[in-house]
Amino acid sequence: MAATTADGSKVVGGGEKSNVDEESKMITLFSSDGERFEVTQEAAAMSQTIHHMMEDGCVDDEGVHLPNVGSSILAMVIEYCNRHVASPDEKEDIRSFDAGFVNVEHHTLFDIIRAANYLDVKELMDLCCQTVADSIKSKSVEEIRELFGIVNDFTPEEEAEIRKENQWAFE
Amino acid sequence: MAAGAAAGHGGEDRLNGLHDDLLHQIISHLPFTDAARTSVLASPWRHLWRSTPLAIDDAHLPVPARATSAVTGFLADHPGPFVTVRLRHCRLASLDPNWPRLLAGKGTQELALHNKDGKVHPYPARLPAEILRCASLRCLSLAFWVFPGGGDIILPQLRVLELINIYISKEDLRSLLASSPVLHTLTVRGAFWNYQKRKRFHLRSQSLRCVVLGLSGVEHFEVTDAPVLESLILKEQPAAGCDDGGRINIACTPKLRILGYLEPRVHTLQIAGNVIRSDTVASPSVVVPGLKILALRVNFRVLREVKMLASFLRCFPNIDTLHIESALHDPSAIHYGVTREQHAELWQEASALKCSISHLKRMVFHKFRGHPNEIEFLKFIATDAHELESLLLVPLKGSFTSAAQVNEIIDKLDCPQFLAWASKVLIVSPKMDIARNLHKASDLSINDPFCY
Repeated sequence: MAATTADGSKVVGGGEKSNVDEESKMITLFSSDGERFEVTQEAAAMSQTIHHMMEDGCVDDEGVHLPNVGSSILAMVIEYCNRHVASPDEKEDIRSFDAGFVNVEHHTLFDIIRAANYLDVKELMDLCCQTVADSIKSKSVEEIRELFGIVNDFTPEEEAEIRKENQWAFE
Repeated sequence: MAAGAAAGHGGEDRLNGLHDDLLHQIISHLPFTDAARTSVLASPWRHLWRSTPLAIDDAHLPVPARATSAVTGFLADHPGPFVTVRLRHCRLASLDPNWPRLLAGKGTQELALHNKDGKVHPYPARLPAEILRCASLRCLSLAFWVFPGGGDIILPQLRVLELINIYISKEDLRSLLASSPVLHTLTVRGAFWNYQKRKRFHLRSQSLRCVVLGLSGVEHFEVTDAPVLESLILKEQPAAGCDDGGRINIACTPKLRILGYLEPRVHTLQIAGNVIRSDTVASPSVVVPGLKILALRVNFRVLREVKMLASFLRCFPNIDTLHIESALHDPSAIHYGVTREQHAELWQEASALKCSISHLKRMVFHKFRGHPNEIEFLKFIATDAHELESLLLVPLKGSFTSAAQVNEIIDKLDCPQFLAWASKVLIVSPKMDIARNLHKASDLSINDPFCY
């Protein structure tokens, strides 16, 4: 649930947690395009990168700048983290949330992978990489090339040679 | 984006801006055959898969290839490391004979080798000895092999071991345990032969915490000198006609916390040299004070078994969780049959003998049929288990059509304690009565392996 406060910054809430709760201290994150996000420390700590910064006392009152992550992707990552800290035990719900979460365009998925890698959110990385892997699994080589925008720079002879080299994989 | 302009090393962005590291991560989630196929996508991809740690599972091979040297081809081509290798479907006998050596050097941590051929012939093949020198192994599962005795065994990291239908001698088993200094979980299942006639299974280990045994044909189980053993689980249900499921001898297991399923019909329990009989009196030498969770399978129609149940309860005075499975199956036992009055008397005596279940907090009664003798037992629990917090009754499938029926039976008993107890008793639907799940049994992180 996102509410817009008086100064226009987005507040992305942490599920059922009450803002009055002492323990859900907030931390501010800035995306590469200057947008401001308020997140609970608990959710932010899912990012090992941010977690280490908090532990090392490198986070000042202003917040954390994330020059490598754009606002739309950061919003998604935050949504993921909020959902996962809110009710970590409800496995069924989380599974269906995750399934819906990764149901996006591939280039968005790649962006999330980059962001999750930079922010070091292992669960999100695994989820997205598995999703990409699953979509590779069922495709032919040509289809995979199209998916990744890969240009085939092999000559037909080279390609045949590789197929022969790993013949057991191409059966 | 000209792929040709990308150099071969991993520092550059390529292809939708995904760094090599990220591509490695994606490839590592692929089955090994798909991972190898990425080699033909474009020149920068040619060798990526080889430098990605992969999991091999032959369940991913298309069926005909399981019989071929696909696996050998892969083992030869990929330098490793292979974190997980599961070969459970291939005909291992038809692989290139180099396969064990190719596998052994690749840093495998989790290995499952199930010799499918072993099921067909009277004697399975000999396990290649190189497997036992794979020093990186942390989890090993072997099925249908003859254990190669006499050689070196180097398994310094092995934590979890599963032996299914393995021919192994007593000495080799001892040697295997001695060479696995950090082994904490051992599962041994299936037909088990050693080379001696008296089928004896002796376990001794400084590191084992959990042992799961599903063995038929063993007459004598001994678990001695296992200072950190917490959990001993017997999975195999002895055959219906079988009268002797063996003697179980436990000694020097100060941390033993979980034991079951014991079956008084066939098991004879011996604690530190003292055989527990139906008239055994609790004394320091037979009492196991550390045991917390006990599971027993009892035929409530047979007096001897019921007396043994009482005896066991005397020997384990501090249990907080009791699982009872009602095994009213053997119709031939009817001539040992005990009347309800005898039953009631028995439990009154047991009460007097301070058959102590005063610490019992939780009881689960599996395959409840509403038999009068089962009810007598429940009455005993109701009177003596002062600290009981919950009782789960899991009805035998087909016995009752609704919880209301069970409640009716309990109401008719006219037992005042039960009425007070109404809130503590929970009737559970039979489909929750899970068949003993092997995975749960050997999972050390689960508090009560007999529960769902």
